[in-house]
Amino acid sequence: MSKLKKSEIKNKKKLKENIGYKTVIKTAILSGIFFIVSLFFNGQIISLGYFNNLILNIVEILVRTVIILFFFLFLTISYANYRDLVGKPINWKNLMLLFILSIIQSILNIYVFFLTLLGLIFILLYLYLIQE
Amino acid sequence: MKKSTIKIILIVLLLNVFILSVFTVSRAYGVSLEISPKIGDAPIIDGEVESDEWDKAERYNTSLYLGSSTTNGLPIDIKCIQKDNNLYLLFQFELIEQRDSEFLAILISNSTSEVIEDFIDAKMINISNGQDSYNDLYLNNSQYIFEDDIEGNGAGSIKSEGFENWIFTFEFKFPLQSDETQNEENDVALSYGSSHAFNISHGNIPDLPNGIERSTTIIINILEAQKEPPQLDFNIVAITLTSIVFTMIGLFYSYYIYQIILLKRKMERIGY
Repeated sequence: MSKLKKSEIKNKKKLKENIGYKTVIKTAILSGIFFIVSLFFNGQIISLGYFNNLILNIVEILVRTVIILFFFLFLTISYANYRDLVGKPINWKNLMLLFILSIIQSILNIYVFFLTLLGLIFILLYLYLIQE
Repeated sequence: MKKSTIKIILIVLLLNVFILSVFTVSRAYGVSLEISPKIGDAPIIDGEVESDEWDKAERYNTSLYLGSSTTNGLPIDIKCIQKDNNLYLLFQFELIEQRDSEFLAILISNSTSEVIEDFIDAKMINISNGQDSYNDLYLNNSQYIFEDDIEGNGAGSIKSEGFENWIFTFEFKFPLQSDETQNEENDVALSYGSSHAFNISHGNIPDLPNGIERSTTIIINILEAQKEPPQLDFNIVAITLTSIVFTMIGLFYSYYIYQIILLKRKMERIGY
């Protein structure tokens, strides 16, 4: 293989890893944003429950659930890419850790907890199936 | 000594004994029973005994006696419950006849004293033509006067059992007070841990004490205030849990960001 071709392959690898690193950073920031939003909603600092309106309560439950699911999704993408960059692909133990870190955010509300549980199982199933 | 002098001394002595006896021997009710309330659920004061509302209370029996007699009394059942800030009393007895008006009055002594003058407070349920009314009275010169400020609550009913007997039911509710609480002048302060004499009087003309036909006196030993077990404050639990959970996740997240920065440095070192 010529020296030029080797250099091209190396440059392509570098570019790929730089893109991978940027993905790690971007998704980590996004998961951080969702984590802070989750702290406000799931930590009950912000609550729509004061209005005593059923629709608002349902909306609040859904918002809380979606925030946790996005947190899990972005953190999983970020962490999986990170593990990929360090040469150790993400395993089930890592996923379980992320799963627990996500689900415990919903412990203050039983409805949010079950909806989040369902959502997380769905995401994990999806990730498992696309791997196959 | 002259006979006349001895006579005078004797008369003076007898007079002294007589005068002193007036002051030392007071008229008093005799106590027939001493009871302690049970802690239970508060019954509804409506003159009706529901299936289980008085179940937790112990059932005591005594008799209402005519005048000063202590025999051939009218048997009466008593139940007593203490719940939160109130003392609840149930009285039931049977009579063959029912008159237009019947009352049951509870005269309350300011202590365990059975001296008539110490029963300064009275609560009365009067059933007249099927309608019951509750009244609060106070003692004023040997007569009980109706009060405007009614303390406590009470209700009564008369029900027939078969064709022969009438069952009289009276339910009372007395507010309890801590020692520090100031009570109204005319009411006896029933404080936690104290004992009081209660005179149960029955008659048909609601005029105390003249209308009393039968009565008996009991002593009730009021229990100490119930102490509620400390409740978990949900807000404090929620704040604590939130703090723990989000701090934990925050720490993990910070560590992860730190690892990403380290990775960047490593990548820079190897020429990326």
